[in-house]
Amino acid sequence: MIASLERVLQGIVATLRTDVIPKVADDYARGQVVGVIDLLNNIAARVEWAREPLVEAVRERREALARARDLLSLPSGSSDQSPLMQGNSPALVVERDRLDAEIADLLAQAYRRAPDSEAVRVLRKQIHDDMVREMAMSRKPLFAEMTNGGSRDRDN
Amino acid sequence: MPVFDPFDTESVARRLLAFLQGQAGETVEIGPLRRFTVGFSWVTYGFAASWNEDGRRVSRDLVLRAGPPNGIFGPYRAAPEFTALRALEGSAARAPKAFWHCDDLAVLGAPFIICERVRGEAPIPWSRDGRVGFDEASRVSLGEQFLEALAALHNFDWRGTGIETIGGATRAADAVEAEIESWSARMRGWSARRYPMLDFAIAWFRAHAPRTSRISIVHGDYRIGNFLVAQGRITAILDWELVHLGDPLEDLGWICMQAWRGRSNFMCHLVTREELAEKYARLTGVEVDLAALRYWEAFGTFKLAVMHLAAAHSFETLGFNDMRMAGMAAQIPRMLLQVEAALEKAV
Repeated sequence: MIASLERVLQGIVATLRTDVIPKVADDYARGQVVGVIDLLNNIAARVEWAREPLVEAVRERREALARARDLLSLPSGSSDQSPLMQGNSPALVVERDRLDAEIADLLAQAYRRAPDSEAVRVLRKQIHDDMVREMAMSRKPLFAEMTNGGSRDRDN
Repeated sequence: MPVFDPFDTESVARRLLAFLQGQAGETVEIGPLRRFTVGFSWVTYGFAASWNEDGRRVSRDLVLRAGPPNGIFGPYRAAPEFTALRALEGSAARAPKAFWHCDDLAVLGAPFIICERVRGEAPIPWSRDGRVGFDEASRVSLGEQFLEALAALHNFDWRGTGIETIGGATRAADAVEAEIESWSARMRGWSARRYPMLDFAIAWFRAHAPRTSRISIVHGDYRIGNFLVAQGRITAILDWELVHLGDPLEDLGWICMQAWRGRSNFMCHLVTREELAEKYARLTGVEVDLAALRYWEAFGTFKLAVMHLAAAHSFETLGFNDMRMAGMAAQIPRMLLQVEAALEKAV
């Protein structure tokens, strides 16, 4: 997923203005597209990614890291015991990504030591569970329509 | 330095004409450019051109493919693809005839390649109902042609040709690590965010690397969606931008990926896994190691996941306002799960 919701909305507006509106022949339909742009511009400053899933993502990463470090007899990390962040969603995205880097490094270390160890299992389970949760929020892609715009013809 | 604007077809056409006149003489004339909507990477246009050659007027339907600076796999180079297509011209690999290319950004503002336009329809794997409309006879026939073209590519004697310069590994002992490193480097370049699943996959690939038995030209994106069909015949294999030297099993593993077949038992909706191995061995004389095939299928799934990171990068960082890129970025969790599943099947 794109990290910046602001960039997503900006991209949608730019696409509608540049790629869509010039091709819409019907006046009413064109006006509706402009209405969508107007709405997106107005909500852009008022929205951010949902906070609760990010809080959950950070919490579960911290728990898995703490458990894996314990299994590997490593000292606890700097963030293991700190309270969950009270920050906004962009700050939580940064923290989630920082923890992902820690998980990747710790998993590599544990895998080198013993590929079938409990620490590897704990970290891989967190990774798996997180992917499943993310998938539950993802719709099936519409690549068929995106690829050909409704037509099956193609040239090289 | 011109700025490449894919929507400003008049400007692209004007610069293209100047380039072609430099290549084929002042007699070159071209028709209007028509942009095709297909392809997630290079921007593709069709156009008609004519010029004088050996005292007669030659007319051709051509395709211009340009790699936009903010495109998914940028920065682009047209030379490897052009070199491969020229070397393969007239072979059974069914590569489109390539006429010119240019990596000098001063010409169009983007690298580009000009090929013949081959007529046909490209069956795509992403249908609304998960099915591709092949009847049994067509499936068998197209599957045979699909593998014949691949075998011709893999059996092509590339040593001593320009192909030696297209990149990849020229020694079997280096082939797997070269691909792992190539795609790891791409991943790091396209995503500052670390994805533990992908980092783990890299470690797994290094720990389980199969032995490479020979080095071939690898297409890199050989699948349904990247060939044209007319009157039941495959008329061209397309999209050679990832061509390189390496383990030919990489192409076979790519063919087997779930992304190109959905729930079908037919790889790329064309052949079963067993048919693929049996027919490929018959056509090339090289037995397919099924465990290595699973490895390369898993590696292909990893590559596809990294391509989704590239899409996110081109949209978010490079400002490429193609909503298909944002759409691909939204599918990263799905791709990560597919990588995990592919690794588990490859064990």
